[in-house]
Amino acid sequence: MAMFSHRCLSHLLGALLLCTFAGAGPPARAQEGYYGQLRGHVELRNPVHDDSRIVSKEISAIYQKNAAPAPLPFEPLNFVVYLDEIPLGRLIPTVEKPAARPRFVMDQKGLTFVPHVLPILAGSTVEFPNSDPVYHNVFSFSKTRTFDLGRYPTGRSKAITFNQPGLVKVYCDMHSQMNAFILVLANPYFTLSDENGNYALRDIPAGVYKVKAWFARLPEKSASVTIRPGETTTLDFVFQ
Amino acid sequence: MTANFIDGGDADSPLRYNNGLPGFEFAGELFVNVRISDEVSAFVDVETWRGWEVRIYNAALTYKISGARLQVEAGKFAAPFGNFLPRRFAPQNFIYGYPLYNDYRTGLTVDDIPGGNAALLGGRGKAFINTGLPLMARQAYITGAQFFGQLGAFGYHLGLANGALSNPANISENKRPMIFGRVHVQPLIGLKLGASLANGGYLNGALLKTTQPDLQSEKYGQTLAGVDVEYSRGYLVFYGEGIFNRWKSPLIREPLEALAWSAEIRYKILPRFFLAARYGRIHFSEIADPTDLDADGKFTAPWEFPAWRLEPAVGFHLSRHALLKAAWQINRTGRPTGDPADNLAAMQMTVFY
Repeated sequence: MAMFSHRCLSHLLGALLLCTFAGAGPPARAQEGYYGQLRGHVELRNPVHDDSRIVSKEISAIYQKNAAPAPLPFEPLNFVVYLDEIPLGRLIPTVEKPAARPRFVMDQKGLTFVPHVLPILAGSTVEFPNSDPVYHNVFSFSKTRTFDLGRYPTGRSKAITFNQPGLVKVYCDMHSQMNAFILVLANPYFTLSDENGNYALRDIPAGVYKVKAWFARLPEKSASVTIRPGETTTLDFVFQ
Repeated sequence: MTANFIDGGDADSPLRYNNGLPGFEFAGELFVNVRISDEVSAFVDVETWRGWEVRIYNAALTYKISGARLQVEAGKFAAPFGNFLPRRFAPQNFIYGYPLYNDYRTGLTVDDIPGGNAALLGGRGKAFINTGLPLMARQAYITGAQFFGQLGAFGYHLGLANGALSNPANISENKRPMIFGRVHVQPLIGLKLGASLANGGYLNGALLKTTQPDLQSEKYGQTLAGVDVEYSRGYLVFYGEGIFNRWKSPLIREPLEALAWSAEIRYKILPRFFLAARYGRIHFSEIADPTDLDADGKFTAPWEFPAWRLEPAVGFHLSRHALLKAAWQINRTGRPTGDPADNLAAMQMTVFY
């Protein structure tokens, strides 16, 4: 029961924040003396070769006109760092125009999903355009959001709205090597690391938070952090 | 890996399965695709058959002469005929069964020849002991070499192999190689049209030598011509095929012809659920029937009984890698002495990676 209440509160906060901010991400105008920053680095100690993007003989033949994507030597370093919970007292009073639902794009290009990892705020809509000269059929059987968009050709796009926080594993029913992740988050305090694993979260209300780092192949990492007004806090994660 | 539970009818017909006894079946399939260099790759498909007997269905080397436009493949590979063979595996086959042209066994065999029209007509509908030739073998993997490639929206295959599509021999069984070819075109995304042709010797010359020492088995061949269509859009996928077949048999003057067609549809009703069905028919040409075996006053008769099959199915994805299917196969053969049902119920669970 306690867990249920906790999750409900978390979702309620997510919805409230969605109404509060104009789009995903923290408020544009931070109040000085109230906010701090979180920076850091995420490291993957044992990266593996990324076989998922090596296209098969059959697909290469279909795709011959446009060069197939070259196999990547190692898996892409897509880390998502986010604040797990925002206590009620930390809600930010900045109110801009009522938010339109943020829209994101996950393209199907070169027989891959681009981007491979997409963190979004709950309530956001993701467009899935088909930019390839072949059919695609985006689907997910994830509990967070189960859907199947059917087959559609080049230039067409279909969209899905993700209201419930959680992980959505996205696949193509026609090209088994295509996969991607949509991480639906309950608050706007999240970011995707750069290619070197560096990240920064700005305009965080001062306080104590649980911070999580997510990587597709490995269990999440979490740590507790104290954000002080006007200061930058450093927090690193290591996946191995 | 695939596990089946099958319960079929026990009627005496070419479509009888496992003598009508219900039971479980297991099949394992392993695919290995190795890229040896930018130009050379190898593909091997090893499968278990009716239990634990291991068979190699596909073992071929491919060399890219000019990218994807011109490639050559040698070894044992799937016959480029029609649009069913590439999707015969449980995860790709929306229903349980195969098309009728794979399953319906005629009175012709590779190691014996009918003594004449009366013998052939008298044996109609009795090839249920698994020796009769279907129009095309269920596992039509042929041993030979082919050129294939893609030129814009067009694809092509052309090659030589052992045997015939009804008898795809691993080693040559007569002096007549099979020549085969296929062209297909994709005029727009989601629509694919194809035409295929194959001609080869179906008789086993070595085995026939004992009973027919003077027979030149290479003179008697099988010609198979087919057209196929594939269309998909949204949640719908449709496959259609038409096949014309002609065998020549030494002691029968008329060509032994057959016409088969099938239409197949799948529709996803929910993200995990789909409904599917295939309907197919097969008809055989008429030959002289001097004794009026059918007692219908006509002195011609089809050399095999016609048949049709309807197979509706429902599928449920337990996960991305696990599929559960239930299918109900309704089979009818046009025997003059009645219409024995060879219906078959199947449950199939397949796990694939």
